Amino acid sequence: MEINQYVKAKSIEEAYQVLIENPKNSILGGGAWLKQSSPNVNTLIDIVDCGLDQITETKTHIEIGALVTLHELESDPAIKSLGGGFVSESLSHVLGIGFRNIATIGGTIAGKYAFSDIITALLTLDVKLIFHPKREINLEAFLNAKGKVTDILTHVVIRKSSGKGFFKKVAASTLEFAVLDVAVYQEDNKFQISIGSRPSGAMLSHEASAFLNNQNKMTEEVLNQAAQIVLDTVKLGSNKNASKEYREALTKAYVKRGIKEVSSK
Amino acid sequence: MKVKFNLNDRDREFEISPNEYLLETLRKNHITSVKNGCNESTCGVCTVLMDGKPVLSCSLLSVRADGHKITTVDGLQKEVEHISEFFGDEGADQCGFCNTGMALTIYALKNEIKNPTDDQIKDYIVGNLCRCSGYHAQFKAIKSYLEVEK
Repeated sequence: MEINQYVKAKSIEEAYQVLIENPKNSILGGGAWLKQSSPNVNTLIDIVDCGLDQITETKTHIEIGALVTLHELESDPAIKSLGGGFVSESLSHVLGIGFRNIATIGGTIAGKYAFSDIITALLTLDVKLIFHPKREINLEAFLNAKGKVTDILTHVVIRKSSGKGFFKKVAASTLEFAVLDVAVYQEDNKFQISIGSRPSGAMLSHEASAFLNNQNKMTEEVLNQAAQIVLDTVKLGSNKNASKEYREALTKAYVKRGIKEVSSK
Repeated sequence: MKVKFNLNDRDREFEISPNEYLLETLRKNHITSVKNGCNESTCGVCTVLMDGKPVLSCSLLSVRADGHKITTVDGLQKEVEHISEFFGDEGADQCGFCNTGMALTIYALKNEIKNPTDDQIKDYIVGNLCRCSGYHAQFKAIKSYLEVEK
């Protein structure tokens, strides 16, 4: 990795002006993945002085600055209580604490990392991303959008809700990337099911949600049908960590377990 | 380019390149207590404290240390010796390569979580690998240390 120069911006607007000067300019998130993943950077723009390191809780939302670290996020009381703690749970297995004190939520989301545990969990919630200059987009639409991000992610806004969540990371060992991530969320009998590390990036099964939302009782047959719909609508694949068949078996087991768990009183 | 940070209670200035990580900056300036293990965010031997929080120096760009307080075991000698006594008592030491990073993480744990549960202790140190002694003796040593420090 080569970085020709480094600029510490005094404001987001200043950072944006530098960003658009050259397609090889890049915003610095936590920087933890930079040496593993980034091509050469012309100007690395640091937004550390732009006040994006706070978590603000309102009656209806949790607003997270892009430079909040993963450990700050997992330890935040509002995040801990969200969905029974499944978002915190998804963060707590990201390498060790020394890494989570560096990696940021903004860098994780803007990077659209396929192996991201937290993205899998957040997809099941109502999450809005705020970019500078003026742009708002929901998380799913952002993940599905093609092309390089040409503006600056400043905040991640989660709508508060009183539902129950489930998160499971399956990995060969604690510090390895997930072989599969499964997140299920239920609020007022409305379900969301997200599968990550497929090994492609996380995605929702809207078809499984629609099916579950019309069920009165979560019988074994309903669980089996829902799991099958997930398998039919979420494309799984093979890589060096696991085969497609293994991921299918895991998906079936953990989707059923997740639905059961979030449906229980 | 230059960065300034407080290293072990002394204000210091370092000449760095923009793509340099803190591990490299420290080691080339003779702070060799900070070990270079995997150099890819996994093993934890390069752990230092930034403003009291454990961070992997192999994964923190040196520019991000600017204006902060960085602590290595050299700046916490008494505490680290104290932790080492518990490790010695439990036979939790062997080659010692992981000790400096482990000790700093344990020190941070003590300050961050009051009366941690066993699971909280394990979760906190999971990123500090030891390839010699296994983790049971270390876990017992950490529990004894935290008990005394209550």
